Amino acid sequence: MADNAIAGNRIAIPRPKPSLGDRLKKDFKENKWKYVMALPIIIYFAVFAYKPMYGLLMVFQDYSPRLGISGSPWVGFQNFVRFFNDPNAWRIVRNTFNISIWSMVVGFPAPIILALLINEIHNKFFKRVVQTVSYMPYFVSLVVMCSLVKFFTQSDGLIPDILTHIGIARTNLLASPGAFVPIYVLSGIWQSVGWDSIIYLAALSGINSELYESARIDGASRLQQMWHVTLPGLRPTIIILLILRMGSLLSVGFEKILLLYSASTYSVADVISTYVYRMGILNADYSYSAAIGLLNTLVNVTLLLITNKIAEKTSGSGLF
Amino acid sequence: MKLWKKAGLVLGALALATGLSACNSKSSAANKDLTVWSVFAAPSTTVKSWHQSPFHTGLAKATGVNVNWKWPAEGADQGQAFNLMTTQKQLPDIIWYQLMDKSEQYMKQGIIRDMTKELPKKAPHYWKFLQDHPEYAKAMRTDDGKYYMFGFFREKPEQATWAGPSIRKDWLDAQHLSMPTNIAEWTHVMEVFNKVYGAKMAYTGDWFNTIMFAGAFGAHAAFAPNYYVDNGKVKFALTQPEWKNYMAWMHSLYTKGLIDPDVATLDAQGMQNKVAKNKVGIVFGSTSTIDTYNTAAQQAKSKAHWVAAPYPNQADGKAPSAIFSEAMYVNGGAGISPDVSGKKLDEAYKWLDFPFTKKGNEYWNYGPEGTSWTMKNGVPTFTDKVTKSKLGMATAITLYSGNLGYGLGVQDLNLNKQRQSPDAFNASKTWYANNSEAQKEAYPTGVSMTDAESKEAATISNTLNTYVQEHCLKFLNGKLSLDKDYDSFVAGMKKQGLDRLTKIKQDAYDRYEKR
Repeated sequence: MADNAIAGNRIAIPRPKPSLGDRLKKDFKENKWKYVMALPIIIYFAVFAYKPMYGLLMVFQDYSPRLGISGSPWVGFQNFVRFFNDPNAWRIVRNTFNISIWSMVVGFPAPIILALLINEIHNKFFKRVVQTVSYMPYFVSLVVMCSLVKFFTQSDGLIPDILTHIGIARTNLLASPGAFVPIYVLSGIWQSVGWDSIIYLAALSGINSELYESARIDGASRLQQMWHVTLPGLRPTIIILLILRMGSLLSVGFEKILLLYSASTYSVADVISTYVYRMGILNADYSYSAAIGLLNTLVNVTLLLITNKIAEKTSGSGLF
Repeated sequence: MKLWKKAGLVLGALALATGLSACNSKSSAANKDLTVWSVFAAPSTTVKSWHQSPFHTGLAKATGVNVNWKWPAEGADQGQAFNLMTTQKQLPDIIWYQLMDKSEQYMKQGIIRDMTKELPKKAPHYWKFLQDHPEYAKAMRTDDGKYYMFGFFREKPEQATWAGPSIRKDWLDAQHLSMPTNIAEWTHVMEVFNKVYGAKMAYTGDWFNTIMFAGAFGAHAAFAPNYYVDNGKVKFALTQPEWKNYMAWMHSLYTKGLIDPDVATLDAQGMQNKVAKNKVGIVFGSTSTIDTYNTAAQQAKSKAHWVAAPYPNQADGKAPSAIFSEAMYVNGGAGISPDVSGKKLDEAYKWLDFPFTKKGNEYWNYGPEGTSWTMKNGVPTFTDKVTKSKLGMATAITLYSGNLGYGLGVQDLNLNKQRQSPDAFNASKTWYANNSEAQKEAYPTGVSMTDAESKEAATISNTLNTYVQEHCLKFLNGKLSLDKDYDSFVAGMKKQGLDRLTKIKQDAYDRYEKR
């Protein structure tokens, strides 16, 4: 009985849990080197991502650099109200969506297609040449690339030269609102398609070659192999990249637009980030542009979460 | 464990280094030399720092005041650099920046001091200069009569008209055309240039192209919002019928193919390419672009010769209603921090008063006497050291003169005569010519708004500017019709608060006139 009681007691009364400090100590002792390895990145995020968040307080202020966050007067939601009353608000939101959706619809599949094509090349030398040539533009500075685009599209440039041959009147393409988004999207693909395809090529090399063998034995054509073996093998990579891309849907390449747009294309090219730049940096309207930026980020996070949910539901592989 | 120690060491060293540099910046601010934070008078690009710049080192010798200069990093946005600088607890002793627009706010925020009481005693030469030129004094004080900065002025008004139309003189001569003087003649020249050489008119979106040919129509703006004063009444240029006439003419040029189709996206570099390829025969530019084009033409062994053309007269022969011109003063100037006191304050005033003394004026314009210049027949003349320098004269001058672009004190006309090519020097004269009346109608630069006014005006004009730029381009290329869409354009501006903005400008102007 007594023994039983003692045994029962042992089961019923667990040992007192070690305190949080003790557990941390123990954990730290065990994983010392992992902590050391993680330290730089923790510092990085603390300094460059979390500390600046304090500055977000300025969206509720009429911020003046001299007075600082502690001294500037509080104005509540005035900056947000101003944005919703801004005659340009709807336009910049619409343009942002327009440009990023087009870049996504046309730009996202492009590297996948290129990777699939490169994968089908069997001549090793030719394969390398194609790869090198296609990812070379990635290393050209954006500023240089944009001035090339400007030269190619101005009224006496290469592209209007070609277009006149098929009967399209010679104009400055960059100054015509209808051509801005295509120029933006296509030049983006030109610059990054090769580089972006690298990650897919890496994923492709990870697909078990036995799968192809058995597909061939079953009589699958090359196209069928691509459809039934290659693409399913790429799916996790594609989904993760798609989710990441969705998260930055509203953060379209600000520098590139800034380098390419002009007053004649504001109607299609002025996006949230360029507007924030003009307001915040050029006009020193810090609080207002911070408020717009915050709204932008909120939408981004929402989109990220939605895409992740959809991906989880449909394919079972989400990011978090 | 060793690795752990090493990592600690590295981190420690990093912390120490940042700590030390922080200490460094504090100690240099605390030492005896005056600190000057400036967006002007940057040392010549041929020297590594101002310590090797003869102008800056010589200035310390000439004034007996040691100064520690600081400029924003090259290529940095000046406004942003200024805002960043004002976040410091310890401000520089002297701040040399575009202080005029928000002088009152800067004083209220404790960035610059009210000099009113101290000026007459501590800076007698500047004070006397202001008494002699009441028009300048008016711009150097706020509506409440507080003096806030040491300014920069021009000896002659043509120094302020440094941009305008220029034309290929060699083509004019080859086609036996005389210099055009009115819109009819200009249109003819453009047609000939286009027919014979396939060349067009071009311009960039720079702010000095705010007027262009508008003055010949009695208008006061080209493609950007602009205000002018008509008998004490502030008016917005783009809502006047004259502007509509001007725009109609520009549109007719565009449809005839006389204006370069790339003007909407053209920058200085793109323009220079077109000039080099003989694709343009008429440009709007500054005195220095004339020099740039002519030098490039000489190097390319081309016969191209660019000269300035006078702003065209109105149809009835009257002088143009508006030309591009800055005021005789500029919005940039040097203020003193309110924290400076005692001996340092006296030194700051002495240093800033120097450009307004006779000696100081010569120094700021030409550099140390005997080194870079000597007096010849009563006129300061650059020596061979400058004129025959291996660096080239234009670059050599940047080592010695402080008044090339914007400076302190008065820029001598003689300085421009000596440093500019004859084509560039004559350009300013040509553009100014008989246009003294046109300058009088310009909205004065010295007007300042109150804190509340400037915030409201900024909110309105930020959106208005974009709106106007977009619509002007559409009126130019015909995507919008002046007959049909002009009224809705004006209505659109009014909806964005144009009337309120005009009222603010009027109030500010009235206060300025009462100063």
